[in-house]
Amino acid sequence: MTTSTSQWSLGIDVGGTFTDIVLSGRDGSLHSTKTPSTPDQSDGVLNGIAKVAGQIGATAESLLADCGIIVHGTTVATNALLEYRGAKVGLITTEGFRDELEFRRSYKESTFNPRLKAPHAICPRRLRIGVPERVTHDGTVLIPLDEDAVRRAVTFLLAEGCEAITVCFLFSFVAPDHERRVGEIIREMAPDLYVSLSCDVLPEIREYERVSTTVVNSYVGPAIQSYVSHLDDKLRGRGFTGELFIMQSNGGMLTASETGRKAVGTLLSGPAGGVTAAGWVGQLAGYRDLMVVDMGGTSYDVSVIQDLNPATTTESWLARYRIALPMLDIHTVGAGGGSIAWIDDGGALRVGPESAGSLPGPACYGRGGTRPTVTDANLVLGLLNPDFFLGGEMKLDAAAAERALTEHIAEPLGMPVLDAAQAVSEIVNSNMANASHLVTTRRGLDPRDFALVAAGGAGALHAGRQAELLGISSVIVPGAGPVFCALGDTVANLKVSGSRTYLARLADLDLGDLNRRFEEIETEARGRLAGQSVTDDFDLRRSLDLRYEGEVHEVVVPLRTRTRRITALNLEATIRSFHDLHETLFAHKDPDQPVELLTIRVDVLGLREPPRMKGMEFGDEDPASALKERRRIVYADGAHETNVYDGARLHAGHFITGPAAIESWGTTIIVCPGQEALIDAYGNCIIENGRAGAA
Amino acid sequence: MTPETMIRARVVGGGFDTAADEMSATVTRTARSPIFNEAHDFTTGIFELKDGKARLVAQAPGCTLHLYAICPAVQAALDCFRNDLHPGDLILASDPYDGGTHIPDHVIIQPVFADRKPVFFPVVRAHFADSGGPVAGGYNPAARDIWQDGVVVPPIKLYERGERRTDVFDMVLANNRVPDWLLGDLDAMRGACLTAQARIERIVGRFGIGETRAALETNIAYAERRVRAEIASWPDGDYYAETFIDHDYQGGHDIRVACTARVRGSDVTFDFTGTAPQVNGFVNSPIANTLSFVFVAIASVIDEDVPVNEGYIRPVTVIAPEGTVVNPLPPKPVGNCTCICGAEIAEVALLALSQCAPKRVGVNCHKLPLAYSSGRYEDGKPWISLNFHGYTGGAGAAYGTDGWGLYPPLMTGVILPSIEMNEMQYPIRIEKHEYERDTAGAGRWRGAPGVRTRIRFLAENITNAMLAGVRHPTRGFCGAEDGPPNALTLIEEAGRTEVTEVIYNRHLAANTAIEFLRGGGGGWGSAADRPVDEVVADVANDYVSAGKASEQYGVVVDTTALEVDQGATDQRRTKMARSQPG
Repeated sequence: MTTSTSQWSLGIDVGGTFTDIVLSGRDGSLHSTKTPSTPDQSDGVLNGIAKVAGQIGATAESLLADCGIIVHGTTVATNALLEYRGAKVGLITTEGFRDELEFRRSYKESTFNPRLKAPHAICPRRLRIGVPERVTHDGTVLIPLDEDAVRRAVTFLLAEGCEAITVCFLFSFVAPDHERRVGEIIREMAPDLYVSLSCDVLPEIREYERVSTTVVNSYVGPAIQSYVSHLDDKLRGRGFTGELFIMQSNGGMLTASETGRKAVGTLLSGPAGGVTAAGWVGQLAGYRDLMVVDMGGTSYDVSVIQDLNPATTTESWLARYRIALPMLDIHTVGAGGGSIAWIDDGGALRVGPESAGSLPGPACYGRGGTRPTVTDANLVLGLLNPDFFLGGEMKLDAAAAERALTEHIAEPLGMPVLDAAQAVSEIVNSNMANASHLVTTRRGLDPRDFALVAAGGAGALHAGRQAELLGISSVIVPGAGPVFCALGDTVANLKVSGSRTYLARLADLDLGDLNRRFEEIETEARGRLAGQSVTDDFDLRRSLDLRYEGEVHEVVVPLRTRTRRITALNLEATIRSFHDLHETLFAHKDPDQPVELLTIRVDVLGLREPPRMKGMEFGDEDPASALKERRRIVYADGAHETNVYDGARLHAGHFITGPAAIESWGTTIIVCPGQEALIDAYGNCIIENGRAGAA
Repeated sequence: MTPETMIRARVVGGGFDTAADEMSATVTRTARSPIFNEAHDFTTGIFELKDGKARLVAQAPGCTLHLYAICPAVQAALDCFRNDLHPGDLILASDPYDGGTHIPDHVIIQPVFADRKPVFFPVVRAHFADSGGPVAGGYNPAARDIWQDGVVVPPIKLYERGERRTDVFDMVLANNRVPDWLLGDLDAMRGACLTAQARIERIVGRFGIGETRAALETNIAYAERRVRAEIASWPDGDYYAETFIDHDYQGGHDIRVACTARVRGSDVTFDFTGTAPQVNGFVNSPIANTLSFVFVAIASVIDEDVPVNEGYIRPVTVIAPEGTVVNPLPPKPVGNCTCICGAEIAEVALLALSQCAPKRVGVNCHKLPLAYSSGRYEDGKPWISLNFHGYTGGAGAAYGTDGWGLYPPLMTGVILPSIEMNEMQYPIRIEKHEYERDTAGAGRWRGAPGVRTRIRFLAENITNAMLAGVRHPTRGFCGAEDGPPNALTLIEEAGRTEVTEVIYNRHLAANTAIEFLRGGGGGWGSAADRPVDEVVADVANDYVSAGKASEQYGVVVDTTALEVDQGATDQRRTKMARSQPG
């Protein structure tokens, strides 16, 4: 492992409202701050660096001069896609197939509704041009590439003002030559244009998935590329001589220059930090299987980490476009603090997906919101302290919350306002628990085998109840809650995911050839990890997408070998785990049925030296010194007089019996009746749930 | 309602919905036949047995034409095994004249017990790649009776008390051309039911059976209230519409499907009196199929957040006179009913509703140019290709949106196979699959353009093809144009042949191609009302030619510069307005 002589490393996460900074020192010290995000995200980043530098008595310049690594989670690509503000993209594709992007394999988000509108066209038909060429599934060239047609197409697209061009031909994952040739022609004609070839972005079978992913790459590519180089220039202008890394959707990080080339890989750059932080915090607390939940203002995100490996998926949809790259599997439901409670025309109480956001926000924010939200219900139930929101920086209007709930929920349903608030709370809890359930069971997992890591401002309010509903026995509320994603950025490893479709029956697989193909992908992946000096300690993980012959969906099965060459025995063991995994996931297996291989995958991790963390000594158990007040809080089982503690005054070793509330800046932790909480050596709050085992 | 009741209803309802979703995921991922796993031609749901009646309590989004159809099928199976159900039983059924639709759509039913009684029934309804009978693939245009459609399967037990009944399995497999696929599909369906069973047992374990059932009843009553609220917003009245089936593949033409939607308060009756008598060909629709397509029409006008359960059905009555094409008597053949005349049933119901709820309706039917082919791989194993890419298209407009994508919503649970995957699995090459200019029904909102697809067969095969939607293509709504007709062309070495109605069990030599033109969707509202800039955008994107822009929309625009001739446009549009009735 290379050792950097620099004193500091920075993790920087840009969110919708705040830019979070974590500064980590070689001596194990940790500093953090928040600053408002700015329209040009790099301004907020520089502001944050100056602010955190102040905490160690330094200037931004002096800190940057002694900073070896900056790891950055950014929403530039995400926002470009979600707000449809990406580049003007042209597509060159096989003649006769230019509408596959729009066809979406016939998928529509609604199975009934003829009024559902088409997704925004990020590459409209005028800019999709078919050119004569065709190869077959075995790589035979049936129709040679018509280079004149390609030149005409490029000329047209340039005249139309395209800022990026995607090239996607049928079967290019078998025979990429035609795509590569088009790439050369474009570079001759427009050397600076952003070009994405599908054989580079996603060399896998299934043309719709490939074209959609590659078009999105072109759509967000110019934005992220220019942002990253702009930020890099700015940092260097302030004296930064270290290396800038960008968090990737697969949960790892990559150098800034590599990031621009595969821009689609940064769509989950922000949340990737959170999941990484959860793994790190979980490990410190002694857990390896984690369910990570993040409750914000509008949504609730759930993901799982198994044996410290975050679950990834190749089945994501974002902004109604299909992204088939391996990305963290984050399941999102519309349940946040700002989710609005309402009664539909069938008389049912509903919560979300509409959110009051931060403006006007919940009724209790006093910013003009009149409709009741989850936060309003929590306030009425006593879970939130009106005088200690964001550490007292913002007063909550309890009367406004009660008014909103009374008018919109309690009176129409003919129930007391407290009952209405409780109903709102339990329904949002149930929505969240169902989401968590789906995330685990669709992977053949049992939620009860996981520890719950609660991130996000509102997560800790509901985590205790989630543990009860899911039958989970331990909850971890990280001490670094408010800057959680940035913390993850400081501990992330480098990671490149590579893949190649390789269709074969396992019974007649040529092991030599398989090994060669694996080496090719590995070499490519390692190439993308070159040009950095953070680490030379690499970990190779290989997997096979396997299925029974005739199935069309695959199961990703890890290859259990540490040797360079995959042996016949390795393969046999992998097939056995395929059968077992198939049974775990789908309740049946058939060991007599032939198994086929579809795609081979490689993850190359560049392991960073983990930051040294000094655990705190345990003090006495009795938290009486941190007791702030007693107040009545209504839980699922009714009202209880509750001890409320000041989070800032709690220290390692404090032991708290539920019911209890712990209030810190930006987070309130609710410990339900029957639960126990402990502050661990790293400042995390661990809640033990006695009522494990429910549905 | 107490908060507890309300909360429990959401929690239990959410749990059952999640169970149905998990079933669906299991089937998709593990089934063997492409129609099942790539095309998702199946639906999963959970039923409850109450007072001797099977009622739907949860349903996963899927192929919506299976929606209602599973109800009578489950009822038939439960009637058959009423006092003979045990934990570990698994029932298979497909009988068009006892709760079924067409024979390929089989149901698998598993009882889940509570307090030693069978209470819940996870069900998978799915289209089998083959179902015996005279032709491979289950669509026999020459059928003159139900036995020529395929092998009828009355409710039978595949498993009894957890034990596989080998003799029954052998009987089923012996009557199938692709037993390996079928075996895999049956495993997948059983796996789905077992997944649901585990989930249901956990819910019942948490709340108790009484509370669970009460919570489900709350949800059913809720769905009913939502549906009634929508119907009550329509003006009372009798709304009549009619449409026609092209032909019955046996020489009968222009077969009338008539429907009066009678709206009274929060109830609606669909009365098919006036519909043509049953016909000799395989386009008759058994009652479960008719109900299913009425339900598809209803579902498409109701807000989609209403949970799909028994409550949906309660405000709706269907009158389908016996002996008509929408309620035939045995043994008339019914093999094509899930396309024709299912399409016409949904279409006529929506045309009737367009008179009282115009802003809710849009195309929700599929008049497909069907063709399927079968042959043998080099190793002798059989293959059946449904040539799915050829039928895709036909999405219509609705108030506020153009038609888009491929299928109308009815079929959007169906995921089109990947072209690359298809070419690896079958001896075929897809040479074209693209929108065809000027094949969209014009309107204030236009339909999606039609799709031209050419599939070349690299090996000899037997092909059956059935054309529909030519004499009577997909209808437009509220003054819009209909979608253009479908077309089917056979491209052999000897030359091109236009298929007029049907080709039956025809031997095709290697290198023969079929070209499909799936007509576009119908429009909504008058084309003269379409804003000029939207017409220009259509010309820019080559959905509409400059010629048709002028002819259909009255917009005069040149193709290269995309400039509008305002004077000529005003003139054309004024003329169009004058020639419009009313």
